[in-house]
Amino acid sequence: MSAHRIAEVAKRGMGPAQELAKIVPFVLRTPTAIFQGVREDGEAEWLCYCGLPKRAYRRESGDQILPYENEVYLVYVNADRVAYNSRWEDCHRNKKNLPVDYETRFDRRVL
Amino acid sequence: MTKQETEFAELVLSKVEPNRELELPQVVHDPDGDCIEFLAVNEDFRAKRVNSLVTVYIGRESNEIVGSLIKGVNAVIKGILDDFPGFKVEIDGRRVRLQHIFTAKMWEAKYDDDKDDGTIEVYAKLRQLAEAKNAEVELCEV
Repeated sequence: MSAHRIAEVAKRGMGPAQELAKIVPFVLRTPTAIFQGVREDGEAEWLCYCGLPKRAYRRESGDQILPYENEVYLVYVNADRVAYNSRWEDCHRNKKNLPVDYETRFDRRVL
Repeated sequence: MTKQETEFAELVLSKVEPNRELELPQVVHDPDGDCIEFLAVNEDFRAKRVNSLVTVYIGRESNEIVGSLIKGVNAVIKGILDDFPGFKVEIDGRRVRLQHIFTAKMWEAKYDDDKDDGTIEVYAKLRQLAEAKNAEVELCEV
């Protein structure tokens, strides 16, 4: 995680900062899946970590809440293993620990 | 949490300025991911991938688009300039109005039937939001 990214997220307030501080490391450490090849145009080494956090945070207040139902948390990592984006997304309709369309949006699953 | 995670969390949270008013829109070109993140409204959201280039952020209360992520920015800009060289006039130094990027993507999609899967409508909504918020981005060297 770059200092630039940390500073940008911190500017957005306590909610995004809590997410970065606590949810991103959790997902990186205990993913339910890791996918490789997240885009076209040759970024075959980029990774997407998928996880099921035990909490979420309200954006404006930073208050802790229950995790969002039927959603997973994704952390995107580039070829230099720098995390550059993270967010909540809908889960797959049958596999609640995987992101929607996981079968087609990544090159392959590595974990 | 591990010791390292605790230290990381402390570092991140120490950067938050509690009384700082959030400036909107937020438009940032992240060089690590070569992506532009656009946040127009400070609302809790979930992300929804549109295609390999664009993800939209959907407000949890409004159910409206409140932002987006454009991926592979340098390739996107290069592609736009290749197709529409006149786009260069919209880039001032390294700054460009976000609505122009969405407009150019709409033009590209219009001429490629394979991409007309609702993508044009999404770009149109993003363009409208970017224009309403006077969203501009400074492009980084990647």
